[in-house]
Amino acid sequence: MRNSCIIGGFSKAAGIEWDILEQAFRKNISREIEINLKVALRGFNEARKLLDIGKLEQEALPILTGNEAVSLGLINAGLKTYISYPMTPSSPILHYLASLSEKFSLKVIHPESEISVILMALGFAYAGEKVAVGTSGGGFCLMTEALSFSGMSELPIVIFLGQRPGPSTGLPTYSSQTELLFALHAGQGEFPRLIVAPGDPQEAYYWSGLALNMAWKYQIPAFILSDKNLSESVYSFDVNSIEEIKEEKPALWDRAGNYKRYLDTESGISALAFVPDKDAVIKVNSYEHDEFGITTEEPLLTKKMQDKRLRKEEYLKRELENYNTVKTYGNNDSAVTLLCWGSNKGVCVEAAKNLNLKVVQPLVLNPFPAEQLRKSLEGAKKIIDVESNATAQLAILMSRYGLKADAKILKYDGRPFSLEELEEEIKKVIL
Amino acid sequence: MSPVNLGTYAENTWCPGCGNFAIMNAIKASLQTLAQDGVPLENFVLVSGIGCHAKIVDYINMNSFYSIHGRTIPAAEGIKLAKPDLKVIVFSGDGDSYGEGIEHLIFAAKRNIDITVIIHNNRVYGLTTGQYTPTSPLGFKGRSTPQGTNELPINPLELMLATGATFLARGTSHGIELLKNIFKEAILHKGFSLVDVLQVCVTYYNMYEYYDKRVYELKEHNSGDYQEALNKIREWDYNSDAKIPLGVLYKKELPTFEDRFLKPAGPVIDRETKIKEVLKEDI
Repeated sequence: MRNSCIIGGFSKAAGIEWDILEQAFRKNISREIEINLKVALRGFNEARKLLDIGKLEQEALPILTGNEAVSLGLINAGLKTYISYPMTPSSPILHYLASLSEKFSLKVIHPESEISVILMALGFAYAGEKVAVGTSGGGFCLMTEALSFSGMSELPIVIFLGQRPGPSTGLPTYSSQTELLFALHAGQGEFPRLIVAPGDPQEAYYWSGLALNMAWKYQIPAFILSDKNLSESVYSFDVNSIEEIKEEKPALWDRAGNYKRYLDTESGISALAFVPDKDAVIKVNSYEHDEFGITTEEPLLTKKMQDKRLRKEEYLKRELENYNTVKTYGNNDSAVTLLCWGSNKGVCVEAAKNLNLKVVQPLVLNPFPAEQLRKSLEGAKKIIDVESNATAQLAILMSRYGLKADAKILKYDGRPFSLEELEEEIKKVIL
Repeated sequence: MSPVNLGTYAENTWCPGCGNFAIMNAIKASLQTLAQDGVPLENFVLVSGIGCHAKIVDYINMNSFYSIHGRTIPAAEGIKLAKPDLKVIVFSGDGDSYGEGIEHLIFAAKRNIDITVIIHNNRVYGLTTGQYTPTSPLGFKGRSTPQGTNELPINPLELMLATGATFLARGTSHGIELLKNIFKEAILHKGFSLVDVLQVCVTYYNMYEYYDKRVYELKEHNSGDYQEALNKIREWDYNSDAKIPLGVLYKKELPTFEDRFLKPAGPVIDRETKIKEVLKEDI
């Protein structure tokens, strides 16, 4: 009831007409609708109109959270199974996909722990079923041993990682961008991985699908790095504005000769076969192994197989050159460039518009699109790195490729940047 | 896949006299019998953890998933739920599944998911050269406990009975004929089955003589009766001296996780159209 009053008052203040509000109430509230409407109207009548929001002359769009866009993007690219242990801000994906499980014939499972989550998922991957898991920092800590196993065994997996402030339990229901370097380095040993970081639901839909496709094509772990702001904020969502993305089939065994699960190839990618196959013995292994998947400690073979796995990242990197891994917005001729990733895209683009600046947003963070980023930053006199963490992780990462941020605007109190606040900070840096 | 020879070219690195040989020979025989009975060998997936036991998958030329320490069971559950017609057999050690990954064992039993878990229970860490495990007796002098352990062992079968396992059995590595029969029955059981094999580690905890004196095979035991099973399971607590019953201790047919969870495959769906439908609901 109290909420209804507030919504009524807010609507008046924001210039939303009563008819629209009434429609929204009737659509979304089933219990005690008449009393709620009465209370809302009272709030509406008591408030003053402060803003006038103009009507958009376009088709009505669905309203979606970042998490829902991730979910639909994964389904669109052929997701069959989702496994997750509840943790903010990833739980809404678990709930949403569970609610859609019948419609899309999905298996949605909530097992005993994040360790079980990722091992179960690797079992699904072994059996040939496209699978994703979702968690946040603490849960991902538990997954790291199996992440490394995924790298070694070349079992494809998509990991949705919703960031929130740490260390430890931190601020569980707030937002941060603190796991970039964690996702990049997690797991013992050296193995390839893909990290995508969408900044809005359209990008979340597209890049989640792409992450699933690439995970299977290269048989690697692929991360969808989100943050609470993107995951749980609601946006209007235009599926038609998204570049088409379809499920891709991974390389399958041609059935010639004896099957070798880890056949060494030019690209490092070995064709897949799935159990049960009467002509193939399919062995995956967490130990270093030969092409059949049998354990080895031979020095030459150890090096050869390590090279094989790492080569996949080289090929992935090359393939990603065909994609828009770095986006730019705003005034291309501006001497000042805002650099951002993830959900900060929205506020940066708006601030840049008001201040006539340029924005550069990398969407892929590993393999790092150094060349595309270098090109996008060409001509920039001052690069301002905007991140929701205390150590400027993107700036650290790009400095490895000789790219330097000139200034940093960092916010790490769990809250999103407000437009006014960001503009204020930018002005301080520019002047 | 020829049922005659299930071996691989991998060099066997178990110690001479290791109880793992008995488990491997017994399971190979059971698998061959099952293959003769019409279960194709490609329908099996063997899962192992990390420990001496785990090498078994390198030595058997069948589908396998060589997992990480303590994490056999969730992987096996994933494989089973992806392809429910597969027979998934987990080989795991006492350190592996009664220690590091015990939560998975409890939850798999709770779900009564149709997988078979064979525990190579040598009651010592062999691969890491001789430390105590969750089933080592009180006072066990291992390399991490030179003065002897200060904790009692768990009775894993009692734990499994309490958490919902529907097939529980015990064998030893000195009783290969019994093992063959138990393995076959465990694999054919529809539901979560666990076989605790008192497997002897000749190097770090040679219990051949001890077991030989105490084990006996169950006769006229009503394995369908919970209380009777519990009494038999409690006869030996993995700590004090007592007779050690071998054979099928408990067996019950109950609905499995996959029976309840998995829906019959629906028609092929047009995802794009359905996504548009879902989006329409959010306007």
